[in-house]
Amino acid sequence: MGNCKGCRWWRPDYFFDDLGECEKKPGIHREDEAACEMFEVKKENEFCWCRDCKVTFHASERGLHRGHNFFCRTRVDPDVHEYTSTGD
Amino acid sequence: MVKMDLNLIIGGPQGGGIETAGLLAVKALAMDGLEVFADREYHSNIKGKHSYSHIRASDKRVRSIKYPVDFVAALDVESIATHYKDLKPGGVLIHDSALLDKSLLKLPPMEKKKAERLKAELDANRAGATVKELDEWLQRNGKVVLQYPFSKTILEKVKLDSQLIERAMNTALTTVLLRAAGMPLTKILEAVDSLFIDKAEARDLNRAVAGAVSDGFDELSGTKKLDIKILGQDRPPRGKRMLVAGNDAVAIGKLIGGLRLQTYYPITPAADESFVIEQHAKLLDSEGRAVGSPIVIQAEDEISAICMAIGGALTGVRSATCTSGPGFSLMVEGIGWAGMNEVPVVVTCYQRGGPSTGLPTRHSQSDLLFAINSGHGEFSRIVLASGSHEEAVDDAVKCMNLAERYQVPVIHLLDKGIANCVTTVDPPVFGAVERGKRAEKGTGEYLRFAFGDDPVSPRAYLGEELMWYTGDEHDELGHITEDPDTRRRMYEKRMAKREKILKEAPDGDKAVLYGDEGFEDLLVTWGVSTGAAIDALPELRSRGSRVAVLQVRMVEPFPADYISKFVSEANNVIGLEANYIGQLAELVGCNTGFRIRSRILKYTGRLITQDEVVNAYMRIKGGEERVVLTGGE
Repeated sequence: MGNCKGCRWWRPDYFFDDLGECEKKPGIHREDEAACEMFEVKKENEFCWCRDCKVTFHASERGLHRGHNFFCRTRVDPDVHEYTSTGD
Repeated sequence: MVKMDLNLIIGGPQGGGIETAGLLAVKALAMDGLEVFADREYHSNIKGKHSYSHIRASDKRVRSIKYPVDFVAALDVESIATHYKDLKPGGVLIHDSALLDKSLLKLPPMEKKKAERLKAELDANRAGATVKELDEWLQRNGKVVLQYPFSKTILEKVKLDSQLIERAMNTALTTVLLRAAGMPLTKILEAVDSLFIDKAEARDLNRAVAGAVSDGFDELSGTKKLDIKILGQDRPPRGKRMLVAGNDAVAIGKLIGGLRLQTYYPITPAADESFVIEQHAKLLDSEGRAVGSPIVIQAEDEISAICMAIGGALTGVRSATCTSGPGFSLMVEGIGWAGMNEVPVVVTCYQRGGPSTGLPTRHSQSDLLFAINSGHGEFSRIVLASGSHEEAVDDAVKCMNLAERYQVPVIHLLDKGIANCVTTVDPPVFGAVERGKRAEKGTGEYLRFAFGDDPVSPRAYLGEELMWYTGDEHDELGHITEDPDTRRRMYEKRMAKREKILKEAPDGDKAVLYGDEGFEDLLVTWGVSTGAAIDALPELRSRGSRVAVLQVRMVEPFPADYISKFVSEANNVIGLEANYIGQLAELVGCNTGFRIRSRILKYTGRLITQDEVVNAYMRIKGGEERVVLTGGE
């Protein structure tokens, strides 16, 4: 058994990537928490999230992310745009 | 009483709550009785790129930021990598201990060129490639590093909804930063309450977070012997202060000045001004009853925005629009129409990095010559450039008064530095609203553009009298004409306003001198750069220089005689502004014949800082003629 980081249900936070959400447990957790009974080894989906590049990539682009940390999904605060200054 | 000058940087990923972190610190410092000036630097993308607030607090007035800094508080690795070199000897770096094993060289949001620069710096300093190695290097080089388990503490001690982590980490970081600088928790909590005054849930969460990390800080600081008591001093009470960004300041000024119609098309860094007017303004009658609010219209583009404002002005309501460079480009035809038809409309223009969309969220002072020359043909206009937030309030009122007194378009020229920087100011004084020369009713045929001794004709509003407006040349009624004599007289009537404006303008509207009158050297500047120059004066004097600062405020019509008096008295005149050419220096040369050879310039999109002024001035004294500043990330 590994820890949350290695689980298919783990969704790292977009900004603070040592934190994240579990699709099976409510709340925010740390990625190094010991795995629980719902642990399943993460596997590559058609689309994955690369933590090193901070992009979602397609399986066909796997070669561009060799050696990187990938996850099945990422977590983004849905209200983030409300309080983010941007410009155009 | 300790004289203090605290500089701190709070950095993190854009969208990660970094703006709230900065605001909380600014509020806490201001509520602690300090004067504050805070620069907000952010990218034009939605999320992920490095953003930061550089906050300066002092027990005397501050108008600029200054490097090196006392504290760097970092939410992410990029902030550590970007700002570690900004720390002064003994300065404190604060970050989450969870970041220790992270690489400094694998930072996806970081731009490639910046990453290359960073790697070269780290290699040259042998500072390592991970956060842990850099921390050790900093400590070997006289800095203090505070590694705090922010995320661990929050998760263990605060019951946190999964949606709120970004909104908790920022408060945690700011709390530890302020505690490290000596501020007691009670004052931080007061600032939290004030910041989230209308958001009970967020307030409670942030109070809990601040309390939790503060407890942890007490345990940690005991072992680390971190005992920096910059804040938390007893200070004499200050009068009532306001904490405003430049956008807020202009909005307040426009409301005090009787604004009734504001039009805009959203653009950085101008749009916030309209939002403030829309969200916070209520019109009360003489008995204090709410009777509505000024009309704020988001137009379909800037061409419509200026045309709507012109239409509003013709009906007699005080009308204005606001924009920045790209939008101002679109407004030029409308400004010319307003010039031809002597329409009292105010355009607030916040300069940002150009050309084209350029650097949407970055500072620049490169639209001065554009503002005074915008539009084809010749017509009278006023361009007034504010140099501080307090001036921005007063000038917003003044611009509307001037527009109606002289019946000309008025451009209120500001910059991103003023628009987005947050600072403490005195509450505004409510000045007089001047509506200008009005037509008397029932005196026969109304001539909207009547010739007379005064180039300003009595004005009637649409609906009061019969009148005609056209973009073509016109006679006194407003009818189209190509008669050469009428053309000459009407042209001269419009242009004669320039002399009238200059003759009647008080000296303080033309330019302001800071420093001793017996100066040898004169820094000639404008806009927000004025603050850095004024703040630099004491240090320049302490180095034996007899130097003063001349802030030029009215740039069109240009007060050549008044400016000549100052520049001709100085042994050395040095231009200081945030553009490539030295646009104000060129303008002084064109109008006075006095060539300003020495120029301190910056066009990176970042503010000119106090320390940069001092260093550049010394380089000019050492014989350099053109100093280009490059500081800031």
